[in-house]
Amino acid sequence: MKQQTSGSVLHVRDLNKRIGRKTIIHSISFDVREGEIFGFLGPNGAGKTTTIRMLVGLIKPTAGTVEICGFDVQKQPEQALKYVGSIVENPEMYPYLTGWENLMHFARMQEEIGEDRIREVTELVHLGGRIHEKVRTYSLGMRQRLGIAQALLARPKLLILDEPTNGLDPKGIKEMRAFIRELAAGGLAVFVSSHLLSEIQLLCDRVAIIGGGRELAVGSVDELMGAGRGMVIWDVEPRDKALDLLRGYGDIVVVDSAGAAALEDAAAAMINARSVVTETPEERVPEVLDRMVREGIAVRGVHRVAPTLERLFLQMTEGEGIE
Amino acid sequence: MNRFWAMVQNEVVKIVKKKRFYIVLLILAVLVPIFSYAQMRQSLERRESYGSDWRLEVQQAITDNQNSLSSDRVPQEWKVYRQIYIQQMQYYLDHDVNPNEPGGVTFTREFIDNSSTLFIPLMIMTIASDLVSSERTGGTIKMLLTRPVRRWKVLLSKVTALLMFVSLIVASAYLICYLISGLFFGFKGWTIPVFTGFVLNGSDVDLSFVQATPQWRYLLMQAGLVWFVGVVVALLAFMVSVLVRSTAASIVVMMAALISGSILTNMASAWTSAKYLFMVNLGLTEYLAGNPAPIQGMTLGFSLAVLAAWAAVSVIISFLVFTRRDVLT
Amino acid sequence: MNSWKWIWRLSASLSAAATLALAAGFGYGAREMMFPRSNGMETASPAEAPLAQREPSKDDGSYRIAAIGDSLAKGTGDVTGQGFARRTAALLEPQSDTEKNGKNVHFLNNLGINGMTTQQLLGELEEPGVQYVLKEANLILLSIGANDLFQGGAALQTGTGAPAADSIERVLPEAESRLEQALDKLREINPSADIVYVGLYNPFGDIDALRETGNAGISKWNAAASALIAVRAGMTLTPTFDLFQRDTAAYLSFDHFHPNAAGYERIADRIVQGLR
Repeated sequence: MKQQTSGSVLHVRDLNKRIGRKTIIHSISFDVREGEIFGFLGPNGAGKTTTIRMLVGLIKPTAGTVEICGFDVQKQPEQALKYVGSIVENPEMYPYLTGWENLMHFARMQEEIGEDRIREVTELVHLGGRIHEKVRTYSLGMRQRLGIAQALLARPKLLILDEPTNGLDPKGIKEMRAFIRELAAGGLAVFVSSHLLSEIQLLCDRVAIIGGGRELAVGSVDELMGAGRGMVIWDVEPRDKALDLLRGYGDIVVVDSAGAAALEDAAAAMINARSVVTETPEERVPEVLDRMVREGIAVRGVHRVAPTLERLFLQMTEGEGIE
Repeated sequence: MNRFWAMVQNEVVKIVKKKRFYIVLLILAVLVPIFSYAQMRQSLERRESYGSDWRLEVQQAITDNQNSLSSDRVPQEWKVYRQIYIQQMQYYLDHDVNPNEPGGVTFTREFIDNSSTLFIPLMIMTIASDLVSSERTGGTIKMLLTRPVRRWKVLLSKVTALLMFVSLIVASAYLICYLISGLFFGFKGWTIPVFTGFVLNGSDVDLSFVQATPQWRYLLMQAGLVWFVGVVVALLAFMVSVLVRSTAASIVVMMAALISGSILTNMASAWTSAKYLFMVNLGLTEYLAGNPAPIQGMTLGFSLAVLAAWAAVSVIISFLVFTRRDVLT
Repeated sequence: MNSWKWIWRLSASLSAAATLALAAGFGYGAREMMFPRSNGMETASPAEAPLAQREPSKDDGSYRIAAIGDSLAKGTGDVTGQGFARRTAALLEPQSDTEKNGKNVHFLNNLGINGMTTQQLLGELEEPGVQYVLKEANLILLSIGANDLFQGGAALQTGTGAPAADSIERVLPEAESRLEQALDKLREINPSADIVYVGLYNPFGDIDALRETGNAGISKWNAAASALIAVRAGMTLTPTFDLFQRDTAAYLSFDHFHPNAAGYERIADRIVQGLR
């Protein structure tokens, strides 16, 4: 099957990696197009980082190809890597050099990056004030920004970020998302990995979902996330009466406390003694609400929650679960 | 090509900014005065027993060694050493030349002779052992290898920077040693004759090739040989640094090799194939001074060949492994 | 950044210079060592050695002592390692209060070598370093001959072989003539020094089987040596024969050949008496 490659910046075909006798990546394929934010979703240990390392040539694939702007990373690394900026795992820089010196260091490895460009990226990531201090003194957020500045130095066409919001505070996370969107709007293809479904939902246009080293699905975020039924948290009184009412619907499933425990932290925080958690089709909610009011159930709150990654996996692998 | 030198520049600046080279200089600046002081005390003590007459002292050393030759308790190999020593000292006396004329230059010569197999290699290892492994422990290797530069070029820039520092370390060892010991013993002694070219035939010394070399020339030859040893040790330590993840482990590996070398050398080995190990071949300056080789059949040419072979193999292994290996962490 | 340029220029230029110099030194050293040039000189030419050409030291009013010869000169058997040579020096040292105007004493060298024979002594006296020491001295203590007579004494140390009377008789004439040569050579090296020859004693005085042969041989030797020394100016023989006759065991060390500390002290006493 010939994939449509026009506008495709990153082209991955049948990537396999075997270490010793164990195959840790099975046949992963996807494309990332110009100007889009591509999510790479999977739990920890699913093979995200190994795959990313193969994308940038740190690990040699056992089989399959990675092409960046038409150049094979293994065969023509000098051409291919020219178009990529990346942060693999943590943004690790030389702590005994200043931020500026770190950027100088990487700029020197490529032609046509002058001090103007270094100043430009420094402004872009808002590090201007402390760029001449040693990296040793930087906070994690500042290191993250310095890492992105480094990745952007050579005006890449593809930016690869491995868990870019990891370890950032809520404000930092928001800023990071806005920043990534801004970059994509400028025509850059951005590849973002995450183990958080919400993160991908908030940021990405398309997504590849992997688990156990296998690709489970590739598609647009709306399509894939919509496929899973959303969860609804009902804050109601009296609880028993509401439960009876909800159980009356054939297409509403009441989730037990074990299921509720798998919710993401932000959603779990909303649950209290009166809460009932259900899987409910979106369009049912107004109707159910109407009935509750009529039957004299006091509704204090209704929250729609995105399905968890685990739920999504359950649905995709049809009960196979994840390791 | 420009880009390559820019990368060498990166590596040089990193070594300097990481203060590795300062540590080397600092160690020298601390140790040399200590040794100079010890040496000064020793020569003061000698002056008490022999006056200022070195000839009496040398003759007494000859007699003492002759006495130990007749002792049954002295092992045969030591006797060979002593016979050679006696003949060389007699040659110095015959020509009325003081083998240990005190002065900054002589001290430097002796200090380097004593430090060429262990101390200077150690200084070099502080830089070489860390060059690749620190990029791995620091995680910066991921940044370094995702730039559009082939891996062998990255490694070559590191080797080039390393070799630059080998020269700098050897040169500064001489400079610091001369300057500090000069304060103790005076800065003179450049033109004192030193005898080289003692050809050893078993326990006999062939004197027909002996040349009176001005000490500055002797130092030049000695420095060249020490530098060669330094380059070989640097390349070996560099290979270990490529193979082993942690800097500490790579230093330990190299230290173990060097120390085992000096132990083997002292055993005056009956195990003759040990002469193919690099660590027993590091004492190149011994040949210059006319001291017997630790193992039968070793000559300067032999040692140079063995060291060069080890260095070449380690360079090949470094490049093969570095360019092929997956970067997993 | 300026510091980068500065670091780079400095280290690059210094290391380039250092590398050039070191590589040149390496090439030079390797060539000199692997393809040595003959110096075109005769290997043994001690006659021309500068040390052998020197004048004897000027008399500075002090004792300048050197000892040369066999294991007795060296002091073998003395647990303190001093031997009669150093003990003599110590005895000559002015005793602080009583002899204020005594001479200063410098002990230069002890050139005694275990097992030395008259033959080896003659060779030793050709060495420039040895000649230098002897020229520097003005009091030379010499002990030689025992190893000629007792064939190194090695057989006797283990007690397995006895000095046969005929073998002593046989070596005596030759040894005597070599002693004469050695005395002349010493005088030639240093025309002004006092030379003290330490006579032989019989280490087998308490072994009945050996006493007589030993006594006979040693008496002959001592007589011959005495005759040689008597006709030479500035030479004296210090007799030790009697010192070890009566109570041999008290003054000999464990090897039953060399004196012990007390024995050496008695020899030193004799030497000093002869010098005053």
